This record gives sequence, structure tokens and C-alpha cells, in this order.
Amino acid sequence: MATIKLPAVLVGGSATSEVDVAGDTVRELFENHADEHGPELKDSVLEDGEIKEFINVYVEGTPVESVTAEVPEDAQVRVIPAASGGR
Amino acid sequence: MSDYVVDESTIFETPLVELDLDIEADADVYAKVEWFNLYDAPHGGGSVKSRIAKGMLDGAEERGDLEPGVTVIEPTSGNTGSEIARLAAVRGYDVEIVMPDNAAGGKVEAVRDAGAEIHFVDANRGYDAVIERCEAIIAADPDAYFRPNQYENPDNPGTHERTTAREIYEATDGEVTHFVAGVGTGGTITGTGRGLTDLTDGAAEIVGFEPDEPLHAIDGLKYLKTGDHYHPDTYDESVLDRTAYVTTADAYDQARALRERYLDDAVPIADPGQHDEETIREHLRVDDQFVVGTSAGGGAAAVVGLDEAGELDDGDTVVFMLCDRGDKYADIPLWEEYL
Repeated sequence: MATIKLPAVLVGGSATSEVDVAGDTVRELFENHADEHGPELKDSVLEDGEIKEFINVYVEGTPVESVTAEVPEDAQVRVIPAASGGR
Repeated sequence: MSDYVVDESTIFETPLVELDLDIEADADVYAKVEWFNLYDAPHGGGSVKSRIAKGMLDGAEERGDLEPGVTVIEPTSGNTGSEIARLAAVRGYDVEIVMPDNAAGGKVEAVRDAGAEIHFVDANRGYDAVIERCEAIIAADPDAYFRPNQYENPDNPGTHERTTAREIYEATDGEVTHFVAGVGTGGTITGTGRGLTDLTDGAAEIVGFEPDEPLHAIDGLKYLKTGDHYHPDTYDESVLDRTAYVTTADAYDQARALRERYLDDAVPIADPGQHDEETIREHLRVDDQFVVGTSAGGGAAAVVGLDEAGELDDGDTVVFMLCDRGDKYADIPLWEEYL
């Protein structure tokens, strides 16, 4: 399973947390996460089934642009807005 | 002593331009063009934060809180950092800036140009982690540092109350009916709001806007809508008449709409502030495009939202802030295809 490093703004405080999620593609990953943990993360990242323009998704440190991008087993996935906003 | 040079006399008295937004009400919409603070500085000139950087450093020096040999340090999403770095370098102080590692490239370069040391923090950890890193650095050697602290320093809203509010009141001949600004530290909306409320005897409506989603990309703004969040001392909600919420998509759309609207037409200058028309024309556009930053797009979206909600009437005079210029964001999706 891949590991999503959850943004602190969705978790609370300044600590991040990680969650293991199954999925072979970026889309599967966020849909499976929504099924298990609720839609907040998926709704923050995806719009109309695609990655939002201003959200960067990194798989093993490499930015991906499509929800069809493959996610290797045990990959680390990070989600970061394309500018500094924060809380 | 640093040989870095910026002209502090260009801070304050920024131009006011009239903008043609897509609204139903027959209202006049104006915007303060804040990159004319330090307009000649590289990487997009200055920003609305030039005002508070000057206000906080002036105040600290006058009170004796900031003395030679001390290092100025500040946590920031970018603009406050670059402006403090610029002004402190000119005044001879060493500077360290703590910022998230997704800060817009133009802001990072501006800090570097001023010779400041940068401490990057994983953006995934959120903005509170940036503040915590700064506090940890200071705690390790408290006597070595002075932190202006834009989140607690009354000189932040105080500078806007003394300058921005008066400039808007005078440039609109006292007819401003709505002032709209985003909430980050809350200093702009709190200080300018207080000043305009006083100057107009409460006639001006003060509207703060915040991001509508926690994972947003409106630079410098804070998501406060839900959950338990750090609340800046510089943000006094009692000054506001209403709070609006803006999505990043709408902020991007409005910023791009402004670019499109003024591709062939000049942006009308309503009041030049301290600048001559030639200077304004030279620095208003980038690559002959009128491109503004993300929070400026957010301001336009907030004004459009007010109109859609029926909150604007014919004859109203609305003012919002163009906090910084778009070339600071040439490396993010907003403008990467255009600049």
C-alpha cells in the first residue's frame, strides 16, 4: 500500500500524519481514502475527477499531473498547494 | 554593512486605479496598487507588506527594541519576509527568514537578493510549523534576535490605520462605501478598517475575505472558517461588517479576467499617489500584461461575490487591494503559462 502524508491543515496543529491506502493510480488512492476516512482529502485535491490546478501531488517526490498516474507499491504521496497559504 | 539598496521613500501613497469588474451594480470599483511600495525593487517591486515592514522596524528602532548587532528574524509566507529583509538590510541588520518550502519563487528570490538567510519548512506541515521553527531558533539564543512579529505587533494594523485608510479616504474624496481586504495576519483589514470607520463616521462597510477551503493557494491568507486555528492578535473581527469566503479557483479566474480585460486597454489611474504617470505606466504591467498576485485575484472575487449577493448598490464606491504583482508568481499555475 502507498502512504499519503496528510497536510497538517487537514489534520490540525503543525503535525502531519500518515495513512496507508491501497490504490494503483492517484485516482484510486484518493477515492479509496475517501471511502475509508471521508471525503475531505479527496475534495481538497480533486475537482471534476481531476487534480485541481493549484494542488501539487507528489508521488515519491515527483510531481504528477494526472489522476491516472501510477502509484507504486509502498510509494510516499504528498499533497501541497501551489503557493504558501497555511492557517 | 550590506550594500543592498532600496528607496524607502517610495513606501506609502500608492496609486489607486479604477477597475472594470463583471458586476451588475453600477458601482465604481477601485484598487490600491501596492507593488508601488518599493516599485523599483527586483522581482515584482514591493507589496502591501512593505508598509508594515517599515512600520514595525521604525517602531522597534524608536522604542529601542531593535539595536545594532541584533539579527532580525520573521516567519512569513513570503511578502513580509522579503520586505523586512530589504529594509533591514538597508539599515544594516542581518536577517533570517523562516518560510514554507512552497513559497512563490519571486518572493524567495527577493529575500535572497537582500542577503537574508532562509530557513525552509516543509509546507506539508502547515503554517503553524513555520512559526514554531522561528520560535525554536529564537529560543536557542534569545538575545541574538529581534522578531518584528507581524501576528502580534500593533504596528502592523497601526501602520494601515495611519496610512492606507487615509490614502483611500482622500483618493476617493471621502466617498468610499466598501473596503475589501483578505485576512492573513488581519493587519490590513483591521487597521484600514478602523481608520476608514473613523474617517467616514462608520459609513464605509468593512469586508474581510478568507479562503473557503483549508487546502488553498491564495498567498498569505489564513483558513479560519472551521476548526481550531491560531488567531493573530493583529486581527480584530469586531472591525468587520461582514466576512466573505473565496475559493482559489475564483481568485485565479478573477486575476486572469483582469489580465484579459486590460490586454488592449490601459488601466485607468484614478489617483497617482506619490508617483508620476510615466512611472506608473512603466511598472503597472509585466511583459505588457496586467498581472496581479493570487490575493489580488481573491479581492476581485470577493467584490464580485458581494455583487452577486446583492450587497452592492448603484453609486457605491468599492476599494480593494492589489497586494502584489503577478511576476512573483511566474512559477505557479496562475501565471506560469503567461509569464
